[in-house]
Amino acid sequence: MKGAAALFGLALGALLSCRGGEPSTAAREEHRPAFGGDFTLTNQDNQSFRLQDVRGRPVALFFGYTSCPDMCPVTMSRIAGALDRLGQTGHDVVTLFVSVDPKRDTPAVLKEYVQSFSVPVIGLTGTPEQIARVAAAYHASFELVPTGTTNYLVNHTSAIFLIDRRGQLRQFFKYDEKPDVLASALRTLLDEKP
Amino acid sequence: MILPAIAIVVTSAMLSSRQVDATVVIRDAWVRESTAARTSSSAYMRIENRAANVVALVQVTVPGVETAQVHASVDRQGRTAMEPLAKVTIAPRGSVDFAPGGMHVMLMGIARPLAIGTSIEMHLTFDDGHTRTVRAIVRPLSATGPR
Repeated sequence: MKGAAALFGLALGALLSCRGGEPSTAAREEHRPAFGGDFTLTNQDNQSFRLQDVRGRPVALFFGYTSCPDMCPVTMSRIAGALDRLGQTGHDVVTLFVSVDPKRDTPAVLKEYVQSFSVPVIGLTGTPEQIARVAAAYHASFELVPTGTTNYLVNHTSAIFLIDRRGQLRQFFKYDEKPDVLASALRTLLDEKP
Repeated sequence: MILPAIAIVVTSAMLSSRQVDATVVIRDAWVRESTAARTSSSAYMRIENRAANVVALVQVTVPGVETAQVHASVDRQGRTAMEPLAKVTIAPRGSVDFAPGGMHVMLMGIARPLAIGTSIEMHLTFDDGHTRTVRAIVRPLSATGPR
């Protein structure tokens, strides 16, 4: 299972590393990822959340964990920057933070975390099996890294996934993509009919 | 209370004979807030080496924190990882930035939550043995810089 997850990660990594620049609309259509899909997890209010629940709205999704010291806040700042650039229309975008550390990231911990950002974020957690299924569906991977103390780190796929109003995964970007580029891609999804 | 940007100047009188003209300045040290449940964070700063010789940061300790390590965030084919750095070399008349998404001081096992607007002490040790203490301002989780 771990090996399979690693392969998925490498496949996504290869796609990300080959991405390079902002493709044309036609190119985006041609290279639309053939993975992703619906899932069910638990949100920060300890309620069941299904991706179908936000059908009709574009989604920005990324995997992370609340104890992530550096990259996860950076990712959130990029998404927040993109949404700021979209102004009022950006309010239609749903941002999902899927924890890859369900042991520590309880709904209560997620709730405190997502409230720290300037844009609305839905924090999602679940059983290890549920998280593994969602990660595999999005060709993402993660791995616990011991630190020799009671704490641990988690290496994880850092991509920002953009999902359209119909629930189809459309694009993914590096975690530190320029907010302008993210905003442009999100604008395309917002311009599509619900 | 928001403290002003912190600069520590190592005067020549404080230096070893090998580094008579050395001056290290640490600016804009800041750290992300933490909570009782979320006991990890990252600290950032700029280290300027105004000396004519190379200086290397070899250790950071933070009172009340179980582990403080200099790390570099790296992205390998779409997957994030953090690499511990044994030392950070600062070129003569050069500077090094610890900034989000790059080099940072990873803090794990923070005993008491870091509240926005307070500050913490960090003790920096350099390869010639001299040490410096800097206060890092606690900023919001969403902060991207020292101000």
